[in-house]
Amino acid sequence: MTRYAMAIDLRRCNGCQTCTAACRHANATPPGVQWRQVLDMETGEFPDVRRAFVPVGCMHCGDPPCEHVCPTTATKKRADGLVTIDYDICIGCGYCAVACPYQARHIVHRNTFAFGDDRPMASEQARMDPERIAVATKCTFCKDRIDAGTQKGLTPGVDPEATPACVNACITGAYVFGDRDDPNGKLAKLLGETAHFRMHEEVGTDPGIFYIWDAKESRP
Amino acid sequence: MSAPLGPTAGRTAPWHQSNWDLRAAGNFVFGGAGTGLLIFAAIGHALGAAYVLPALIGLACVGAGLICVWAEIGRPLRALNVYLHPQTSWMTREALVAPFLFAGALAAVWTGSQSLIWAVAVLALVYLNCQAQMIRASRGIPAWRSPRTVPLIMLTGLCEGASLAILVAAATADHAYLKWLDAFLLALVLARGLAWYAYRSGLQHEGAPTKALAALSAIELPFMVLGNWLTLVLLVIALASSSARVVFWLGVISALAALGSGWLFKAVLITRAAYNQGFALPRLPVRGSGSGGSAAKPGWR
Repeated sequence: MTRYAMAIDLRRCNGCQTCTAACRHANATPPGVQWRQVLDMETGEFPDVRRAFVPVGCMHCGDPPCEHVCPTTATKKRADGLVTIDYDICIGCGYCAVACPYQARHIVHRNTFAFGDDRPMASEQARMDPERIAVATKCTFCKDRIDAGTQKGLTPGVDPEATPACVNACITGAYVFGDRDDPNGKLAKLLGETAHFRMHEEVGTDPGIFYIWDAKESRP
Repeated sequence: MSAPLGPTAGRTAPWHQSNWDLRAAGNFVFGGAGTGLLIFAAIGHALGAAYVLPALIGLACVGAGLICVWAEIGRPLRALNVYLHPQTSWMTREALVAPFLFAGALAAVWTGSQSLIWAVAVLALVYLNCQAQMIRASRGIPAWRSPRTVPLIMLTGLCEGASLAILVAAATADHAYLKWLDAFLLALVLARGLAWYAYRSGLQHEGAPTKALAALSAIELPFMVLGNWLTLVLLVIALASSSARVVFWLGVISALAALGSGWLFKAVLITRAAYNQGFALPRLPVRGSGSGGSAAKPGWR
Protein backbone atom coordinates (compact mmCIF):
# COMPACT_ATOMS: atom_id res chain seq x y z
CA MET A 1 0.00 0.00 0.00
CA THR A 2 1.06 3.55 -0.66
CA ARG A 3 0.84 6.04 2.19
CA TYR A 4 2.06 9.44 1.15
CA ALA A 5 3.63 11.24 4.09
CA MET A 6 6.10 13.97 4.84
CA ALA A 7 9.11 14.37 7.08
CA ILE A 8 10.22 17.81 8.20
CA ASP A 9 13.66 18.18 9.69
CA LEU A 10 13.26 20.77 12.44
CA ARG A 11 17.04 21.00 12.72
CA ARG A 12 17.17 22.38 9.19
CA CYS A 13 14.15 24.65 9.04
CA ASN A 14 15.21 28.28 9.43
CA GLY A 15 11.74 29.79 9.28
CA CYS A 16 12.21 31.50 5.91
CA GLN A 17 8.56 30.84 4.96
CA THR A 18 9.47 30.00 1.37
CA CYS A 19 7.24 26.95 1.68
CA THR A 20 4.36 29.20 2.78
CA ALA A 21 4.89 31.48 -0.20
CA ALA A 22 5.22 28.54 -2.57
CA CYS A 23 2.02 27.02 -1.26
CA ARG A 24 0.13 30.25 -1.65
CA HIS A 25 1.50 30.66 -5.14
CA ALA A 26 0.63 27.09 -6.11
CA ASN A 27 -2.82 27.07 -4.55
CA ALA A 28 -3.90 30.71 -4.76
CA THR A 29 -5.15 30.84 -1.20
CA PRO A 30 -6.73 34.15 -0.15
CA PRO A 31 -5.12 36.59 2.29
CA GLY A 32 -5.08 35.22 5.84
CA VAL A 33 -5.32 31.61 4.70
CA GLN A 34 -2.12 29.63 4.83
CA TRP A 35 -2.44 25.96 4.08
CA ARG A 36 1.25 25.66 4.91
CA GLN A 37 2.52 27.95 7.64
CA VAL A 38 5.70 28.01 9.69
CA LEU A 39 5.38 28.59 13.41
CA ASP A 40 8.06 30.48 15.26
CA MET A 41 8.07 28.80 18.68
CA GLU A 42 10.16 30.47 21.33
CA THR A 43 10.25 28.70 24.68
CA GLY A 44 12.03 28.94 28.00
CA GLU A 45 13.24 31.94 29.94
CA PHE A 46 16.44 33.91 29.61
CA PRO A 47 19.17 32.72 29.50
CA ASP A 48 17.83 29.27 28.60
CA VAL A 49 15.71 30.25 25.63
CA ARG A 50 15.09 28.01 22.65
CA ARG A 51 13.59 28.67 19.31
CA ALA A 52 12.16 26.26 16.79
CA PHE A 53 10.57 26.82 13.41
CA VAL A 54 7.76 24.37 12.88
CA PRO A 55 5.98 24.01 9.54
CA VAL A 56 2.39 22.91 10.04
CA GLY A 57 -0.67 22.21 7.93
CA CYS A 58 -2.99 19.33 7.23
CA MET A 59 -1.35 16.19 8.58
CA HIS A 60 -3.25 13.88 6.18
CA CYS A 61 -4.03 11.65 9.13
CA GLY A 62 -4.41 7.90 8.85
CA ASP A 63 -7.48 8.19 11.08
CA PRO A 64 -8.75 11.67 10.19
CA PRO A 65 -11.37 13.06 12.59
CA CYS A 66 -12.47 15.49 9.88
CA GLU A 67 -13.47 12.58 7.66
CA HIS A 68 -15.41 10.86 10.44
CA VAL A 69 -17.46 13.90 11.38
CA CYS A 70 -18.10 15.28 7.88
CA PRO A 71 -21.86 14.90 7.35
CA THR A 72 -21.65 15.12 3.56
CA THR A 73 -18.76 12.80 2.61
CA ALA A 74 -17.05 15.86 1.10
CA THR A 75 -13.97 14.95 3.11
CA LYS A 76 -12.51 11.63 2.10
CA LYS A 77 -9.34 9.68 2.72
CA ARG A 78 -7.86 8.24 -0.44
CA ALA A 79 -6.21 4.86 -0.62
CA ASP A 80 -2.83 6.56 -0.88
CA GLY A 81 -3.40 8.42 2.40
CA LEU A 82 -4.31 11.85 1.05
CA VAL A 83 -7.25 13.50 2.80
CA THR A 84 -9.30 15.40 0.26
CA ILE A 85 -12.27 17.77 0.16
CA ASP A 86 -14.90 17.79 -2.60
CA TYR A 87 -15.88 21.45 -2.83
CA ASP A 88 -19.03 20.56 -4.78
CA ILE A 89 -20.47 18.58 -1.87
CA CYS A 90 -19.22 20.50 1.18
CA ILE A 91 -21.89 22.58 2.93
CA GLY A 92 -19.43 24.65 4.96
CA CYS A 93 -20.81 23.54 8.31
CA GLY A 94 -17.38 23.85 9.94
CA TYR A 95 -17.67 20.54 11.77
CA CYS A 96 -14.44 19.29 10.21
CA ALA A 97 -12.68 22.47 11.34
CA VAL A 98 -13.56 21.94 14.99
CA ALA A 99 -12.73 18.24 14.72
CA CYS A 100 -9.22 18.86 13.37
CA PRO A 101 -6.60 18.95 16.15
CA TYR A 102 -4.15 20.72 13.84
CA GLN A 103 -6.17 23.83 12.96
CA ALA A 104 -5.56 22.96 9.35
CA ARG A 105 -8.96 23.81 7.90
CA HIS A 106 -10.13 27.19 6.71
CA ILE A 107 -13.50 28.52 5.63
CA VAL A 108 -13.75 31.94 4.01
CA HIS A 109 -17.17 33.36 3.35
CA ARG A 110 -16.31 35.95 0.72
CA ASN A 111 -13.53 36.80 -1.68
CA THR A 112 -10.77 38.91 -0.20
CA PHE A 113 -7.78 40.41 -1.94
CA ALA A 114 -4.37 41.50 -0.77
CA PHE A 115 -4.82 45.22 -1.47
CA GLY A 116 -8.47 45.58 -0.53
CA ASP A 117 -11.67 43.90 -1.55
CA ASP A 118 -12.35 46.36 -4.36
CA ARG A 119 -8.84 46.22 -5.79
CA PRO A 120 -8.03 42.66 -6.84
CA MET A 121 -4.76 42.19 -8.65
CA ALA A 122 -5.01 40.68 -12.11
CA SER A 123 -3.47 37.44 -10.84
CA GLU A 124 -5.95 37.28 -7.96
CA GLN A 125 -8.85 37.96 -10.30
CA ALA A 126 -7.69 35.27 -12.66
CA ARG A 127 -7.16 32.61 -10.01
CA MET A 128 -10.14 33.39 -7.77
CA ASP A 129 -12.16 30.22 -7.38
CA PRO A 130 -15.82 30.72 -6.37
CA GLU A 131 -16.02 26.99 -5.62
CA ARG A 132 -13.78 27.56 -2.60
CA ILE A 133 -15.99 30.21 -0.99
CA ALA A 134 -18.01 29.13 2.08
CA VAL A 135 -16.61 25.60 2.03
CA ALA A 136 -13.78 24.01 3.96
CA THR A 137 -10.32 24.17 2.39
CA LYS A 138 -6.93 22.88 3.47
CA CYS A 139 -3.57 21.59 2.28
CA THR A 140 -4.02 18.92 -0.36
CA PHE A 141 -0.39 17.77 -0.41
CA CYS A 142 -0.68 19.21 -3.93
CA LYS A 143 -2.70 16.18 -4.99
CA ASP A 144 -3.15 17.56 -8.50
CA ARG A 145 0.61 17.55 -8.97
CA ILE A 146 0.87 14.08 -7.47
CA ASP A 147 -1.92 12.69 -9.63
CA ALA A 148 -0.69 14.31 -12.83
CA GLY A 149 2.86 13.24 -12.08
CA THR A 150 2.09 9.64 -11.27
CA GLN A 151 0.04 9.38 -14.46
CA LYS A 152 3.20 10.29 -16.32
CA GLY A 153 5.12 7.64 -14.43
CA LEU A 154 6.86 10.11 -12.14
CA THR A 155 7.54 9.43 -8.48
CA PRO A 156 6.21 11.88 -5.84
CA GLY A 157 9.01 13.03 -3.61
CA VAL A 158 11.64 12.21 -6.23
CA ASP A 159 10.47 14.02 -9.34
CA PRO A 160 9.70 17.70 -8.64
CA GLU A 161 6.81 17.69 -11.09
CA ALA A 162 5.00 15.16 -8.92
CA THR A 163 6.01 16.63 -5.57
CA PRO A 164 4.18 19.15 -3.34
CA ALA A 165 5.17 22.78 -3.96
CA CYS A 166 6.37 23.35 -0.39
CA VAL A 167 8.80 20.45 -0.65
CA ASN A 168 10.18 21.70 -3.94
CA ALA A 169 10.57 25.22 -2.62
CA CYS A 170 12.32 24.47 0.67
CA ILE A 171 15.75 26.10 0.57
CA THR A 172 17.26 23.98 3.34
CA GLY A 173 16.03 20.58 2.28
CA ALA A 174 14.05 20.28 5.50
CA TYR A 175 11.10 18.67 3.72
CA VAL A 176 11.10 15.11 2.46
CA PHE A 177 8.01 13.69 0.81
CA GLY A 178 7.26 10.19 -0.31
CA ASP A 179 5.64 6.84 0.25
CA ARG A 180 6.04 5.91 3.89
CA ASP A 181 5.37 2.26 3.09
CA ASP A 182 8.12 1.99 0.51
CA PRO A 183 11.07 0.58 2.48
CA ASN A 184 13.50 1.64 -0.23
CA GLY A 185 12.13 5.15 -0.50
CA LYS A 186 13.95 8.21 0.78
CA LEU A 187 11.27 8.94 3.36
CA ALA A 188 11.25 5.51 4.99
CA LYS A 189 15.05 5.45 5.07
CA LEU A 190 15.23 8.90 6.62
CA LEU A 191 12.70 8.01 9.27
CA GLY A 192 14.71 4.89 10.04
CA GLU A 193 17.85 6.94 10.56
CA THR A 194 16.48 9.75 12.70
CA ALA A 195 14.70 10.48 15.96
CA HIS A 196 11.29 11.92 15.16
CA PHE A 197 7.83 12.50 16.52
CA ARG A 198 4.40 13.40 15.25
CA MET A 199 2.37 16.23 16.67
CA HIS A 200 -0.47 15.53 19.12
CA GLU A 201 -0.04 11.77 18.89
CA GLU A 202 -2.13 11.49 22.05
CA VAL A 203 -5.21 12.46 20.05
CA GLY A 204 -4.84 9.23 18.09
CA THR A 205 -5.12 10.52 14.52
CA ASP A 206 -2.06 8.79 13.02
CA PRO A 207 -0.76 12.01 11.44
CA GLY A 208 1.20 11.84 8.20
CA ILE A 209 3.82 14.49 9.01
CA PHE A 210 6.91 13.40 10.93
CA TYR A 211 9.10 15.95 12.68
CA ILE A 212 12.78 15.05 12.86
CA TRP A 213 14.54 16.51 15.87
CA ASP A 214 17.78 14.53 16.16
CA ALA A 215 19.91 11.78 14.66
CA LYS A 216 18.98 8.32 15.81
CA GLU A 217 22.46 7.20 16.83
CA SER A 218 22.76 9.91 19.48
CA ARG A 219 19.63 8.65 21.21
CA PRO A 220 20.02 6.01 23.92
CA MET B 1 -21.30 35.91 22.39
CA SER B 2 -18.86 34.49 19.88
CA ALA B 3 -15.20 34.99 20.67
CA PRO B 4 -13.38 37.88 19.05
CA LEU B 5 -11.82 36.94 15.73
CA GLY B 6 -8.29 37.73 14.68
CA PRO B 7 -5.55 36.44 12.48
CA THR B 8 -4.57 32.93 13.47
CA ALA B 9 -1.48 32.43 11.35
CA GLY B 10 1.62 32.00 13.45
CA ARG B 11 -0.19 31.34 16.71
CA THR B 12 1.07 28.46 18.79
CA ALA B 13 -0.96 28.57 22.02
CA PRO B 14 -4.59 27.46 21.70
CA TRP B 15 -6.99 30.08 20.38
CA HIS B 16 -10.73 30.06 20.26
CA GLN B 17 -12.33 28.25 17.36
CA SER B 18 -14.12 30.68 15.06
CA ASN B 19 -16.25 28.32 13.01
CA TRP B 20 -19.15 27.74 15.39
CA ASP B 21 -20.72 30.78 17.00
CA LEU B 22 -24.00 31.50 18.79
CA ARG B 23 -25.95 30.08 15.87
CA ALA B 24 -24.33 26.68 16.40
CA ALA B 25 -24.81 27.05 20.15
CA GLY B 26 -28.48 27.74 19.40
CA ASN B 27 -28.84 24.24 17.98
CA PHE B 28 -27.64 22.72 21.24
CA VAL B 29 -29.58 25.20 23.39
CA PHE B 30 -32.93 24.81 21.63
CA GLY B 31 -32.44 21.23 20.49
CA GLY B 32 -31.57 20.07 24.00
CA ALA B 33 -34.44 21.94 25.63
CA GLY B 34 -36.90 20.87 22.95
CA THR B 35 -36.05 17.19 23.04
CA GLY B 36 -36.03 17.29 26.85
CA LEU B 37 -39.51 18.80 26.78
CA LEU B 38 -40.75 16.14 24.36
CA ILE B 39 -39.54 13.49 26.78
CA PHE B 40 -41.22 15.18 29.74
CA ALA B 41 -44.37 15.78 27.74
CA ALA B 42 -44.63 11.99 27.46
CA ILE B 43 -43.91 11.50 31.15
CA GLY B 44 -46.38 14.25 32.07
CA HIS B 45 -48.99 12.69 29.81
CA ALA B 46 -48.52 9.35 31.59
CA LEU B 47 -49.23 11.19 34.83
CA GLY B 48 -52.36 12.71 33.36
CA ALA B 49 -51.15 16.10 32.08
CA ALA B 50 -51.98 17.50 28.64
CA TYR B 51 -49.62 16.50 25.83
CA VAL B 52 -50.38 18.80 22.94
CA LEU B 53 -49.01 22.12 24.15
CA PRO B 54 -45.69 20.90 25.60
CA ALA B 55 -45.14 18.67 22.56
CA LEU B 56 -45.71 21.53 20.16
CA ILE B 57 -43.43 23.83 22.17
CA GLY B 58 -40.78 21.10 22.22
CA LEU B 59 -41.02 20.69 18.46
CA ALA B 60 -40.80 24.44 17.96
CA CYS B 61 -37.62 24.51 20.04
CA VAL B 62 -36.04 21.68 18.02
CA GLY B 63 -37.05 23.46 14.83
CA ALA B 64 -35.53 26.71 16.07
CA GLY B 65 -32.29 24.87 16.75
CA LEU B 66 -32.23 23.43 13.23
CA ILE B 67 -32.89 26.86 11.75
CA CYS B 68 -29.92 28.15 13.74
CA VAL B 69 -27.70 25.48 12.15
CA TRP B 70 -29.04 26.21 8.72
CA ALA B 71 -28.21 29.88 9.25
CA GLU B 72 -24.67 28.94 10.22
CA ILE B 73 -23.62 26.76 7.33
CA GLY B 74 -21.75 28.32 4.45
CA ARG B 75 -23.78 26.73 1.66
CA PRO B 76 -27.38 26.58 2.95
CA LEU B 77 -28.79 25.57 -0.44
CA ARG B 78 -26.81 22.34 -0.22
CA ALA B 79 -28.15 21.56 3.25
CA LEU B 80 -29.61 18.22 2.19
CA ASN B 81 -26.08 16.91 1.61
CA VAL B 82 -26.02 16.57 5.40
CA TYR B 83 -27.72 13.18 4.94
CA LEU B 84 -24.84 11.58 3.06
CA HIS B 85 -22.68 10.20 5.86
CA PRO B 86 -24.68 8.27 8.49
CA GLN B 87 -21.87 5.71 8.83
CA THR B 88 -19.78 7.88 11.15
CA SER B 89 -21.12 11.44 11.35
CA TRP B 90 -23.26 12.35 14.35
CA MET B 91 -24.42 15.44 12.48
CA THR B 92 -25.91 13.22 9.79
CA ARG B 93 -27.49 11.01 12.42
CA GLU B 94 -29.05 14.00 14.14
CA ALA B 95 -30.42 15.17 10.80
CA LEU B 96 -31.79 11.69 10.09
CA VAL B 97 -33.68 11.54 13.39
CA ALA B 98 -35.20 15.01 12.94
CA PRO B 99 -37.87 14.24 10.29
CA PHE B 100 -39.02 11.16 12.19
CA LEU B 101 -39.17 13.23 15.38
CA PHE B 102 -41.29 15.90 13.73
CA ALA B 103 -43.58 13.46 11.90
CA GLY B 104 -43.97 11.27 15.00
CA ALA B 105 -44.69 14.17 17.33
CA LEU B 106 -47.23 15.74 14.99
CA ALA B 107 -48.90 12.35 14.54
CA ALA B 108 -48.91 11.85 18.33
CA VAL B 109 -50.48 15.28 18.81
CA TRP B 110 -53.04 14.51 16.13
CA THR B 111 -54.00 11.00 17.27
CA GLY B 112 -53.13 11.08 20.99
CA SER B 113 -51.74 7.55 20.60
CA GLN B 114 -49.90 6.50 23.75
CA SER B 115 -47.44 4.33 21.86
CA LEU B 116 -46.62 7.17 19.46
CA ILE B 117 -46.06 9.53 22.38
CA TRP B 118 -43.52 7.14 23.87
CA ALA B 119 -41.91 6.51 20.49
CA VAL B 120 -41.45 10.25 20.13
CA ALA B 121 -39.87 10.39 23.60
CA VAL B 122 -37.39 7.70 22.53
CA LEU B 123 -36.61 9.58 19.31
CA ALA B 124 -36.09 12.76 21.32
CA LEU B 125 -33.64 10.93 23.56
CA VAL B 126 -31.79 9.63 20.49
CA TYR B 127 -31.69 13.15 19.03
CA LEU B 128 -30.32 14.51 22.30
CA ASN B 129 -27.69 11.78 22.33
CA CYS B 130 -26.70 12.68 18.75
CA GLN B 131 -26.15 16.28 19.85
CA ALA B 132 -23.99 15.24 22.79
CA GLN B 133 -21.98 12.81 20.65
CA MET B 134 -21.55 15.50 18.00
CA ILE B 135 -19.75 17.68 20.53
CA ARG B 136 -17.66 14.80 21.87
CA ALA B 137 -16.54 13.80 18.36
CA SER B 138 -14.90 17.21 17.87
CA ARG B 139 -11.40 16.02 18.62
CA GLY B 140 -9.87 19.40 17.91
CA ILE B 141 -11.48 21.01 20.95
CA PRO B 142 -10.16 19.65 24.26
CA ALA B 143 -13.15 20.97 26.25
CA TRP B 144 -15.53 19.09 23.95
CA ARG B 145 -13.85 15.78 23.24
CA SER B 146 -13.96 14.44 26.79
CA PRO B 147 -16.29 11.43 27.02
CA ARG B 148 -17.79 13.09 30.10
CA THR B 149 -19.27 15.73 27.79
CA VAL B 150 -21.96 13.25 26.71
CA PRO B 151 -23.72 12.71 30.06
CA LEU B 152 -23.33 16.38 30.94
CA ILE B 153 -24.95 17.58 27.71
CA MET B 154 -27.71 14.99 27.94
CA LEU B 155 -28.49 15.77 31.58
CA THR B 156 -28.49 19.47 30.81
CA GLY B 157 -31.02 18.88 28.02
CA LEU B 158 -33.20 16.76 30.30
CA CYS B 159 -33.03 19.42 33.03
CA GLU B 160 -34.13 22.03 30.53
CA GLY B 161 -36.95 19.75 29.36
CA ALA B 162 -38.18 19.20 32.91
CA SER B 163 -37.91 22.94 33.57
CA LEU B 164 -39.93 23.80 30.48
CA ALA B 165 -42.49 21.15 31.43
CA ILE B 166 -42.86 22.81 34.85
CA LEU B 167 -43.28 26.22 33.24
CA VAL B 168 -45.86 24.92 30.78
CA ALA B 169 -47.73 23.12 33.57
CA ALA B 170 -47.62 26.26 35.71
CA ALA B 171 -48.86 28.42 32.86
CA THR B 172 -51.71 26.08 31.89
CA ALA B 173 -53.07 25.42 35.36
CA ASP B 174 -51.92 21.78 35.21
CA HIS B 175 -50.78 22.32 38.79
CA ALA B 176 -51.59 18.80 39.98
CA TYR B 177 -48.46 17.50 38.29
CA LEU B 178 -46.07 20.18 39.47
CA LYS B 179 -44.85 18.17 42.42
CA TRP B 180 -44.04 15.19 40.19
CA LEU B 181 -42.17 17.38 37.77
CA ASP B 182 -40.37 19.09 40.65
CA ALA B 183 -39.23 15.66 41.85
CA PHE B 184 -37.92 14.78 38.38
CA LEU B 185 -36.12 18.09 38.11
CA LEU B 186 -34.56 17.63 41.54
CA ALA B 187 -33.12 14.24 40.55
CA LEU B 188 -31.85 15.63 37.23
CA VAL B 189 -30.31 18.73 38.78
CA LEU B 190 -28.46 16.54 41.27
CA ALA B 191 -27.22 14.32 38.42
CA ARG B 192 -26.24 17.36 36.34
CA GLY B 193 -24.20 18.74 39.22
CA LEU B 194 -22.34 15.46 39.62
CA ALA B 195 -21.79 15.23 35.86
CA TRP B 196 -20.36 18.77 35.87
CA TYR B 197 -17.82 17.97 38.55
CA ALA B 198 -16.89 14.71 36.83
CA TYR B 199 -16.42 16.66 33.59
CA ARG B 200 -14.34 19.40 35.22
CA SER B 201 -12.12 16.96 37.10
CA GLY B 202 -11.70 14.95 33.89
CA LEU B 203 -10.53 18.05 32.06
CA GLN B 204 -8.08 18.87 34.84
CA HIS B 205 -6.77 15.31 34.77
CA GLU B 206 -6.50 15.00 30.99
CA GLY B 207 -5.24 18.55 30.56
CA ALA B 208 -6.87 21.41 28.71
CA PRO B 209 -6.00 24.89 27.49
CA THR B 210 -5.82 27.25 30.46
CA LYS B 211 -8.19 29.70 28.79
CA ALA B 212 -10.80 26.97 28.31
CA LEU B 213 -10.57 26.05 31.98
CA ALA B 214 -10.86 29.73 32.91
CA ALA B 215 -13.97 30.13 30.75
CA LEU B 216 -15.59 27.16 32.48
CA SER B 217 -14.54 28.40 35.94
CA ALA B 218 -16.18 31.73 35.16
CA ILE B 219 -19.61 30.11 35.01
CA GLU B 220 -19.24 28.13 38.21
CA LEU B 221 -21.34 30.71 40.11
CA PRO B 222 -24.22 31.26 37.66
CA PHE B 223 -24.34 27.71 36.32
CA MET B 224 -23.52 25.53 39.28
CA VAL B 225 -24.07 27.55 42.44
CA LEU B 226 -27.16 29.49 41.43
CA GLY B 227 -28.51 27.37 38.59
CA ASN B 228 -27.89 24.00 40.15
CA TRP B 229 -27.32 23.85 43.89
CA LEU B 230 -29.62 26.73 44.84
CA THR B 231 -32.22 25.22 42.54
CA LEU B 232 -31.78 21.92 44.30
CA VAL B 233 -32.37 23.54 47.70
CA LEU B 234 -35.48 25.32 46.45
CA LEU B 235 -36.83 22.09 45.01
CA VAL B 236 -36.24 20.23 48.29
CA ILE B 237 -38.18 22.96 50.10
CA ALA B 238 -40.94 22.81 47.49
CA LEU B 239 -41.26 19.04 47.77
CA ALA B 240 -41.28 19.18 51.58
CA SER B 241 -43.98 21.85 51.59
CA SER B 242 -47.67 21.09 51.79
CA SER B 243 -48.56 24.53 50.45
CA ALA B 244 -49.60 24.51 46.79
CA ARG B 245 -48.50 28.13 46.54
CA VAL B 246 -44.99 27.29 47.73
CA VAL B 247 -44.80 24.32 45.36
CA PHE B 248 -45.93 26.52 42.49
CA TRP B 249 -43.61 29.45 43.01
CA LEU B 250 -40.52 27.55 44.05
CA GLY B 251 -41.10 25.18 41.17
CA VAL B 252 -41.32 28.06 38.70
CA ILE B 253 -38.24 29.82 40.11
CA SER B 254 -36.29 26.56 40.09
CA ALA B 255 -37.34 25.83 36.54
CA LEU B 256 -36.28 29.26 35.33
CA ALA B 257 -32.93 28.94 37.10
CA ALA B 258 -32.24 25.42 35.79
CA LEU B 259 -33.29 26.40 32.27
CA GLY B 260 -31.32 29.64 32.11
CA SER B 261 -28.20 28.14 33.64
CA GLY B 262 -28.30 25.21 31.21
CA TRP B 263 -28.55 27.55 28.25
CA LEU B 264 -25.74 29.66 29.64
CA PHE B 265 -23.54 26.58 30.03
CA LYS B 266 -24.07 25.43 26.46
CA ALA B 267 -23.55 28.90 25.03
CA VAL B 268 -20.31 29.23 26.96
CA LEU B 269 -19.16 25.73 26.03
CA ILE B 270 -19.54 26.49 22.32
CA THR B 271 -18.59 30.16 22.17
CA ARG B 272 -16.23 30.75 25.10
CA ALA B 273 -14.56 27.51 26.20
CA ALA B 274 -13.91 26.05 22.75
CA TYR B 275 -10.18 26.68 22.58
CA ASN B 276 -8.46 24.48 20.06
CA GLN B 277 -5.51 22.19 20.56
CA GLY B 278 -2.88 24.74 19.62
CA PHE B 279 0.54 23.42 18.65
CA ALA B 280 3.01 21.52 20.77
CA LEU B 281 6.37 19.83 20.42
CA PRO B 282 7.19 16.78 22.53
CA ARG B 283 10.89 17.57 21.89
CA LEU B 284 12.67 20.67 20.69
CA PRO B 285 15.14 20.08 17.86
CA VAL B 286 18.87 19.73 18.30
CA ARG B 287 20.71 22.82 17.09
CA GLY B 288 24.38 22.64 16.18
CA SER B 289 26.34 20.74 18.80
CA GLY B 290 23.79 21.35 21.56
CA SER B 291 21.18 18.95 22.79
CA GLY B 292 17.49 18.92 22.09
CA GLY B 293 15.19 20.76 24.44
CA SER B 294 12.32 19.38 26.45
CA ALA B 295 8.69 19.57 25.45
CA ALA B 296 6.88 22.79 24.63
CA LYS B 297 3.12 23.02 24.93
CA PRO B 298 2.19 26.69 25.20
CA GLY B 299 -1.14 27.66 26.69
CA TRP B 300 -1.84 24.37 28.44
CA ARG B 301 -2.21 23.41 32.03
